[in-house]
Amino acid sequence: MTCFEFEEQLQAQLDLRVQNYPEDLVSHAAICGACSSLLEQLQRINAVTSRWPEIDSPANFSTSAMAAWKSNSAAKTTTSMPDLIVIAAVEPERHSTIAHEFETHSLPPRPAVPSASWALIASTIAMCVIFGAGLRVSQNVPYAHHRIANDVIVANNHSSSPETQISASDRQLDVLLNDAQEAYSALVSQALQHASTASFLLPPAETTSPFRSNDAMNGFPDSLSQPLSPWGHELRDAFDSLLDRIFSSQDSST
Amino acid sequence: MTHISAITIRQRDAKLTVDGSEVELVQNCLTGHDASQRDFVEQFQGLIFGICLRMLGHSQDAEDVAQEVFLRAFRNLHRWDQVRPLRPWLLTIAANRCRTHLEERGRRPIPCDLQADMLPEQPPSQPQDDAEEVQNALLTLRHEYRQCFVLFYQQDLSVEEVAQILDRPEGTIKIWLHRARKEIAEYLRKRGFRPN
Repeated sequence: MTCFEFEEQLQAQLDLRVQNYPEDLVSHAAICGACSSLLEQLQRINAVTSRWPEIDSPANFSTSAMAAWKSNSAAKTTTSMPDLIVIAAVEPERHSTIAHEFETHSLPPRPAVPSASWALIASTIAMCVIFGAGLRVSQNVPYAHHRIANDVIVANNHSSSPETQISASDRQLDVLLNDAQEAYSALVSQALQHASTASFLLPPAETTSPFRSNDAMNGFPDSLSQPLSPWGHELRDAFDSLLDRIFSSQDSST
Repeated sequence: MTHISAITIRQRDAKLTVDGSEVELVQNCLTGHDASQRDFVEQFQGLIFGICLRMLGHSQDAEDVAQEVFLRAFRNLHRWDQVRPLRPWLLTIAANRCRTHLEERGRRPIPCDLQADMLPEQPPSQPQDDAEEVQNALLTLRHEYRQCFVLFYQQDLSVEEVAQILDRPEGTIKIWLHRARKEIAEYLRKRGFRPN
């Protein structure tokens, strides 16, 4: 048994005013100092409250209470309806007397209902409601126009006029081109990855073109010598720029 | 083996029984019979004044509130269900009036000359006898805990009866009662009361 369980069970026993506690409670209290102390304190409280002295009311309490009741009854100018009903059932003669007094005695005039002020309050509330509703409607007008315009466009898209057919085909073409571009980029990047993994080697930067040699260029026109005789670094630069363009286009598409 | 004290059972049975004389007394009071109304006050003044004093801790306040309880009882006697016992009905009125008074007291400042008449909210430096210490501890409790404790111990009511009087679920009453016991035990422990 835990201390928490002990306290729960002890409180439950006290709720039932049980005097002899179960064995498990007693055995836990025997080994737990805190629970033992709590048990004894609560037993002490029980003992004190069981011999709480009776409280005597003040000597003249009934007299003063009766006087207060009488003065309270007299202060009521009219007999309350429940009392009248009871009196009518028990003492019909007394009831008729009281009812006669009730009818003959002029009741104090009720304060006039301030109808003007109520009307003012009601009209103020109505004005506030109307103003608030109007403000809300005016704030929603641009939004409503926007919604209406969108709805018109959407509605037109569903129609079969030639203009809308063209715009729809343009959009489809645009989507198709975009998809094709992404597919092409993916294919190229995949091919380049295969090339790099296959240890595709470019010539070193310092490689000289075989066409640069004097003998090799004999018989060729000068205009063809430059495009057909790339230096090693020129070939590398072109390849790097190609890679950059491919990867940048891939990044932008993703 | 557990057993509930026979005295408690007898007290409880006596409380739950609708007394024929009470019905007659109430009927006489309803007719406006002065002597019956005085009898009514004298019969229940100890009960009502006692719970008011335990709850409020101030004799003048307790007298005022007890008087108010009787005024309300007389005004509403026609509403009393004669099938049910009168005592819990009166205790309900008293508990409500005490709670209202305590709430009002909490909202208004207490004049200096009245503070001296109050039962001590601050405990005295030296431990007093058990009953006084428990009464002092009682005044440090929350109103709800105090009501539960007083009704349970002073009036010897069961948890179910306290729940009916305070119009709360039994579980709530148990929790309040447990906390009241524990806080009083803690108060006594701090005051240096060692178990015998």
